[in-house]
Amino acid sequence: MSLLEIDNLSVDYRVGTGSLRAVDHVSLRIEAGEALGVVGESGCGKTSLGLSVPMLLPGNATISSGSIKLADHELVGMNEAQLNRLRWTAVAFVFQGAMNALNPVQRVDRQILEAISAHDSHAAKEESSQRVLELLDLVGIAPARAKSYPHEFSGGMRQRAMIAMALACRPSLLIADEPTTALDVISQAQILALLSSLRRSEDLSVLMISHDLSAIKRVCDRIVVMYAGVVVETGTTEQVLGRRGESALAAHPYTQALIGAHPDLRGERVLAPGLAGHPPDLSKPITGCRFADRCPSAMSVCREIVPPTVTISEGHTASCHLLKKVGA
Amino acid sequence: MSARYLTRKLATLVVTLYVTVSFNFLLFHVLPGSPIQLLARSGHYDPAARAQLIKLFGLNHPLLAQYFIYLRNMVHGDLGFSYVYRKPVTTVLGGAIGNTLLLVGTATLVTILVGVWLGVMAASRAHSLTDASITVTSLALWSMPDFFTGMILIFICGVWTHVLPISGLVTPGLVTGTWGHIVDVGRHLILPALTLTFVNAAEFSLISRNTLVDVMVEDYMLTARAKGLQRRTIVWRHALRNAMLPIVTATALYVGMILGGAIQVETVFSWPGMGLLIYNSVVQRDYPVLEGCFLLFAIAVIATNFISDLLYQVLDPRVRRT
Repeated sequence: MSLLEIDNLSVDYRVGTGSLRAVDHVSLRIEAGEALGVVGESGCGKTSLGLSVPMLLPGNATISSGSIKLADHELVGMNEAQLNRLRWTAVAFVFQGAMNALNPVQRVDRQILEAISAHDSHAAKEESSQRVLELLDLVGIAPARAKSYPHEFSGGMRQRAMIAMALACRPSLLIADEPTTALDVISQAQILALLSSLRRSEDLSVLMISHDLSAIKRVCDRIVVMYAGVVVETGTTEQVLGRRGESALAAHPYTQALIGAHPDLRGERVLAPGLAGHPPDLSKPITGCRFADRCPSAMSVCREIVPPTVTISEGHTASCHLLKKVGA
Repeated sequence: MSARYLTRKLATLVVTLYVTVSFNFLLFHVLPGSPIQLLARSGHYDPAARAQLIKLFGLNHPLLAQYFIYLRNMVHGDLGFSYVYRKPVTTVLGGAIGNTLLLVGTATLVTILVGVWLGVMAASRAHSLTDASITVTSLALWSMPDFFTGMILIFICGVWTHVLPISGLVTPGLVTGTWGHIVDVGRHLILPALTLTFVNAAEFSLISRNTLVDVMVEDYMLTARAKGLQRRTIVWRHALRNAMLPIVTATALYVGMILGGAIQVETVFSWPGMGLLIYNSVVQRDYPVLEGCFLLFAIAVIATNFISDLLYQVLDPRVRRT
């Protein structure tokens, strides 16, 4: 049994009079202790996917189909009280831009303490305060800074405090949504190193959402590539991005374009080609492959028939008509 | 809060007070109409008596000298002598200030509590029917003048149903014990306090609703929800605390508004406070009393702004100066 099992999940947003499907029949699994990265451009449904696990989608979003099982608890259809018991104890969240994810008028230690006492009303005050200091120490924040307000921290420190807070109730799953966005490169590297080491020391499973392939590569074992609400490719990090020094093995043209848009320091000096255009408008019906309009190798069949999911090797799948042709 | 910040704020306070006091003096000395004419309007004072009156009120000195006398007297707690009541202004004000404090204090307390509570109700059910009802009712009440709301209440509760007294502070001729007196004053207090509350609570409910709706979509609110906190904790501890700043600002501005409102409401309900005193003093051109009232109102507004500045320091760690 996997720790997290998402099956056929669809998330719809009410927009004006119509609706928009941000996540379309997505299935994925995370085993205990595993780190899974979800990559894709902005607006591909990554954040909606992440928020749907602890049922934190905004008010105009609904889960229209599918199931989310976390450690054998079915989360879809659970009431608020039940969810509140699982939030932070089973699944904790590190949000995009820790700049505003911490309450600006509350001291940092108080905010972490609040998470502990919300889930353990019997916790002794002394012990909990001690735990807060341990958590801060774990992420490299000195006890002397515990009583600071968020604005007295640098961006990197704030994100580390956020991670300390996320670990407060010893969750089995940590969802990190763009944890390094809006940080300088040094802080980014520190946060990624921290996440990689905490995964092991705290026995965490991680769902990391990012548009940054190199960030995902540093932390994750497996990758899910999302485009316009659907999973287009999935595989181990090595299967998709290739071993260090080797060229990438990505099978889907979108994944290849994402990798191509990212200049490689060690590789040949070429101008990153980038990827022109935008993801399609999801409020309108799309026939065939969603990437067809931007795909350099689009064929006529791509605009008519939804591509099948093809297994390339053990654990590595992609959805593209090209693959079928090659494989057949 | 640092001592330096406090000192600077106090210095600003003193300067503001001085300017207000000077302006207050100037205002009443450039207004047309001499008080002597007013006092002498009925009879034919002989020039000697007239000269004596001028001397009595210190009007024989040049304006600048009068200004310094005015300042000196004020420092000694002497606000002049009422033309109408023939008593020191401080005595006249002393009789009215308590009643106004009772009215305005009660109204303020209810206004803030009810207003903020309604705002929280509306914001936590944003864009629902509850929200729409609270917002529309607030807007309607906010746009009504105090005296008009007062007259409607007089009509409903006094003239129509006779459930509450509509005028004065106590029932004339009522002989009763201390407790009975408190109840009697309380009953008289309800309508004028309600009038002020109706108009001003609307402002607080709208401001707290709008600020809260903005705060609710902040990232840290999502964090609070993700932590599995209860809805009540999320709204009152995380949202309202952050929404307090505009509410504190509104309170500071509100004190000026409610004092202005008190003039209308006390007049409508014959509540013997400073508002009614101002109204009567304007009618009777009792300048020294008016000067005294204006001074007290100005002090109240300046003091509230000072307190709200200090509250900012307590509430928002980001504006704290070191």
